[in-house]
Amino acid sequence: MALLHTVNKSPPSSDVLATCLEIMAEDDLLLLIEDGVHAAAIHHPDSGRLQTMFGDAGRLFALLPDLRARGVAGHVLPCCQEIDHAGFVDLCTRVERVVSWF
Amino acid sequence: MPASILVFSARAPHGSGLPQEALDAVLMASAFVQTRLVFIRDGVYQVLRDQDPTLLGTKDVAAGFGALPHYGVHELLVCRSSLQARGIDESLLLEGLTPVSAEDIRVLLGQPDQQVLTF
Repeated sequence: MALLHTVNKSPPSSDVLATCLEIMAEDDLLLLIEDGVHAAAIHHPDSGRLQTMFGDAGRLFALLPDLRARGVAGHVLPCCQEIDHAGFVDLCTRVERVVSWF
Repeated sequence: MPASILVFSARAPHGSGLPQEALDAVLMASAFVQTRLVFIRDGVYQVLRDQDPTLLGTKDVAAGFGALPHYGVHELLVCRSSLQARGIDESLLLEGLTPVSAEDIRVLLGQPDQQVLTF
């Protein structure tokens, strides 16, 4: 069964996203939270890489309150779905375990 | 109680108390369940050889690594990608470490009934 990974730091200030991307399995889900949502911005240098990795697989998510707070909500990558806290809870029920990278 | 515990030690030594916390957690958990310790990201700096924190006056966390086999933790796993990202060749590391790939870590994360702790 798939895992849900959460990343709460922004690249390039932290390497947690890079580490997570390297380790996560092909059917695992990734949720960007807190400062991690900056990686979901279409203008972010890593956006091409994320778009290539996640395409239209529906495995990349970003937490809406954090996107809104940081002014990123209007600029999210097409491959990244915005979800709220209820959506976060729902994701957790769909996976074997949650692995937090921080 | 989980069947096993996986501890990621992800911070550099001598700058925070987290490396010691990771080691303490491993020693404590190993009394109950199978426990694995993985040095990842800046945590790989903890396993460089020839560290001498004497002039800092702080406790040397690495001195505690020698106790791990006595607690049933026989493998100290170190993330190859993290080493490479930091330009660290394996020859610069302490003896007796087991380098692991991202794929190896992915497999470890997939173990059923396992608790993951990150420091």
